[in-house]
Amino acid sequence: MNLADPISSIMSKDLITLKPDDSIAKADNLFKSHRLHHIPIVEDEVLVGMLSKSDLLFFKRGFGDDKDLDQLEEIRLNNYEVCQIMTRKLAKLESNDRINVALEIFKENIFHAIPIIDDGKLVGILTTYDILKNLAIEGNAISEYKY
Amino acid sequence: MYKEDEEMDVTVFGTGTSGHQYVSSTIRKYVEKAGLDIHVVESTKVSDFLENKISSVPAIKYKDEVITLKSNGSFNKSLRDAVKSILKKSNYGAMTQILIPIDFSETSANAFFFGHRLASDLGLMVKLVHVFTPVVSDITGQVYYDPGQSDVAREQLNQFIEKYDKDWGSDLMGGALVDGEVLLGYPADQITRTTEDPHTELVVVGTTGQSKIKDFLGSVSRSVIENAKCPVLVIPRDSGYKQTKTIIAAAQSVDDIPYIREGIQKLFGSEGLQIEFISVKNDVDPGKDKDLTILNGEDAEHTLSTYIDDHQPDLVVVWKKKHSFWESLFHSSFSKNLAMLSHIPVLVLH
Repeated sequence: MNLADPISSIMSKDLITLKPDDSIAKADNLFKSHRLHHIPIVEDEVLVGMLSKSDLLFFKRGFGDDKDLDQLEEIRLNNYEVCQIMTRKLAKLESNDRINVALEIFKENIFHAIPIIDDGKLVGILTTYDILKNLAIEGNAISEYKY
Repeated sequence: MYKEDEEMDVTVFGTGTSGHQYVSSTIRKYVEKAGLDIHVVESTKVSDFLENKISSVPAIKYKDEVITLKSNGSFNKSLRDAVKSILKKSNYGAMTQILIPIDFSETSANAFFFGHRLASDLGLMVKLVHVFTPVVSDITGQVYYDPGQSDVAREQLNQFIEKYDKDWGSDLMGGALVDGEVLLGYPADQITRTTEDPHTELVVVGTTGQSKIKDFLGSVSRSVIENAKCPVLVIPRDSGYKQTKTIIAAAQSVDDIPYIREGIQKLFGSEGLQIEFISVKNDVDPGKDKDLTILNGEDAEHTLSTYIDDHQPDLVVVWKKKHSFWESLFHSSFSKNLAMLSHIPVLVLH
């Protein structure tokens, strides 16, 4: 991975998104079924927020800790919309920005996923996992590692 | 020197920090909302703390009861409980409420979550009512009442409230307050009686939302809709809360519109609401009569159902006006008529 390469070379483009008025129950099911950690929230193709698994867990804290109450918890989540718990203030980049710019943002340790916006539209997201994945698949990164 | 205040004063002990002021202003806000003649005074003197045996601050004293607020993550919960404790001593004053009958089924739980969101948006409180019916012997006709059983019901209700009456979202004190009551008797009678309370703005009842099953609308919900003294909001089991923006209201004629509009606006206000009034008539040309959209159809239920399915409003409103076409629909087959709207909340105005 060349840090001078554009973000478009490593970002995730096949996105699962939600609308702001989708229920939190729907988001919960997506997190469970797709091993996701971040879901971009999009309205009319414009990014309006990001929902992280941490946002969801914070909302669920203290609730649903009893297995008998799981069903009630799902009903509760169905009565809230993702716009109520999503993060609205986001760091954003463009797809032709360099990877090292994204690394500077990740180093701040506030965001673990950066939405990539071109001409006002969401075209991908870049997560710390994308960085790790690309480091790991490079032969050098593995072969040079000494036990 | 701290003097014993009037009985109707709430004293908030603290050190004058922003946290202290937050407690005072929060209590003041709710006391005003309830229209109670209670003064909230602050005390920052250590001698007052000692005299009143205050072990830590912030703390609240009202009618000889001292409530110490927790300083850890439960601060908001303890403040919320303190507010409820103060208001409950005056039976919540003039606070208006949404009444939600609960039998702990999933259907009634959904009605609660939906109703709680609505109450939070409308600035109302939630009153949960669980009706406990003593066993009546079929043979002797004797009523067996074991006080222990109603205690179990009361405990179950308290646990439910304790679990769900806390800060749910980002607005920590913004959620509607929840109080509960266990009543003894037959559910339909007791719930209907509770709707006579002038502080009750609305009753929220749940339905299974499955039109094909026989008990789509339980007998209790059915009776409450028939006899309630206030509007009833019927929530299908799978219908999650969404802020109401689009409404389809069934009207018989143009003359009905002002009454229906008033009923809707009394609950939801008028800002940002898009209301469409519709009527179904046979052998007429479809079109508009002032604000009324007239649909042509022999089968009113089917025509209405199709229109609603096509337009997917957030809410359907029906006025149960005496001797009206809609009332006759309701009387002929009430559950069937609601079943056709199985996925959309229905507000029944009286």
